[in-house]
Amino acid sequence: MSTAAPGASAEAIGYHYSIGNEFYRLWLDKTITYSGALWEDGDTLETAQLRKLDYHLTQAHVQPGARVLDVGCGWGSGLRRMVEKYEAGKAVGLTLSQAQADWIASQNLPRTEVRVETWLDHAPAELYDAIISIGAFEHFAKPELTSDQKVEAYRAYFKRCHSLLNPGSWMTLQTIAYGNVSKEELSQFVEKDIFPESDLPTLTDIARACDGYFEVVALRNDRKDYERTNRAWLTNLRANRAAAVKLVGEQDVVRYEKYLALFIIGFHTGTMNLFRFTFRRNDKPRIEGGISR
Amino acid sequence: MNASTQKQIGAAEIQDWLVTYLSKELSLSPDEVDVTTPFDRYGLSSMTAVLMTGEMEEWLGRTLDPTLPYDYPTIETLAQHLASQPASKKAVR
Repeated sequence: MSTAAPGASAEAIGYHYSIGNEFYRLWLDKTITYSGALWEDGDTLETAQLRKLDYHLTQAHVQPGARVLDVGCGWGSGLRRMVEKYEAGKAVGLTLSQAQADWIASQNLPRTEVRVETWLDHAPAELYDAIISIGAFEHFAKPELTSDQKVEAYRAYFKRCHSLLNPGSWMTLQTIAYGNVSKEELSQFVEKDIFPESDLPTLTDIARACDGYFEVVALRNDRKDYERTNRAWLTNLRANRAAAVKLVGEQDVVRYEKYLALFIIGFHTGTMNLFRFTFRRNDKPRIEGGISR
Repeated sequence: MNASTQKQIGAAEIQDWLVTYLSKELSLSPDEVDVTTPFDRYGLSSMTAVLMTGEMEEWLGRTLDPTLPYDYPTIETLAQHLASQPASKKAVR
């Protein structure tokens, strides 16, 4: 594990996920997908989550036989989807949570490998044909970084992905971002009690960070989709409240209820955005020659 | 949320509850809380909105959406909205 990583440490990520797989299974959908879904009329939470995964895998141009990397693979719903529906030849997932890795390993998915490793340390023998990352970028920069340091940390991610991809490849990124709010205004509760060591990007941060390495082909802001997702999660948590309290105790259930309610408000009012990017690799990046960022 | 204690409560009573809650929260006397002044003018944070909605759920005995103070941004409009909702209606959907 890199010690000088600019993003949240494995310990910090572990803090959020150490509450246990069973707790999340009480209120996430059956695929255990813990990120904003993509909703259409008539969707259940599960079909909206699968729609989101399909969006990413389609936008990333995942073809049968492709080698695909999922950065921040959660409980493996993206890995499962890419091997089962898109016939990926090799699906590799990175997570910092041992609990998630153990869960995925127990699923015995074909042609799938899960690694407890950061993208900084990931050094595969072969290049990838596509990369997706859903709900991990939020953890790539610590709150104490300056604006320039934060962009530098994100830029290192795009540089790394660029070096991991074959020429002509596509990549997607889904992340929460600051919306119409100052950093100081966004609740300290979320940083302290829910996602320690994590700061959110702004649209400008991402634009500066990817410049040169990737071409932005599409960008959607689907904050209302994440509002609806959080609302579904809160409804599920409340419906299973007694079981949740039995599992993790009243205090932690209250903590999650507050966090989900705050996120509902954030996405509802636009203090937080949900960006879904589609990138195409720039095969001749004009960077070494001194491209500005 | 235990919904067994649902109550139908009128707008005036809800308005009084909100005035009391906010005056305590903001260390003001109830006279200083104007029912037509938007919540954000009082510097109401989203955390306070969450806590306030949670306390109201306990009191009213029904589930409330945490975004209500944003869609009904004054004590008066929020109280009127809540009073117009049937007690059995669940808002978080």
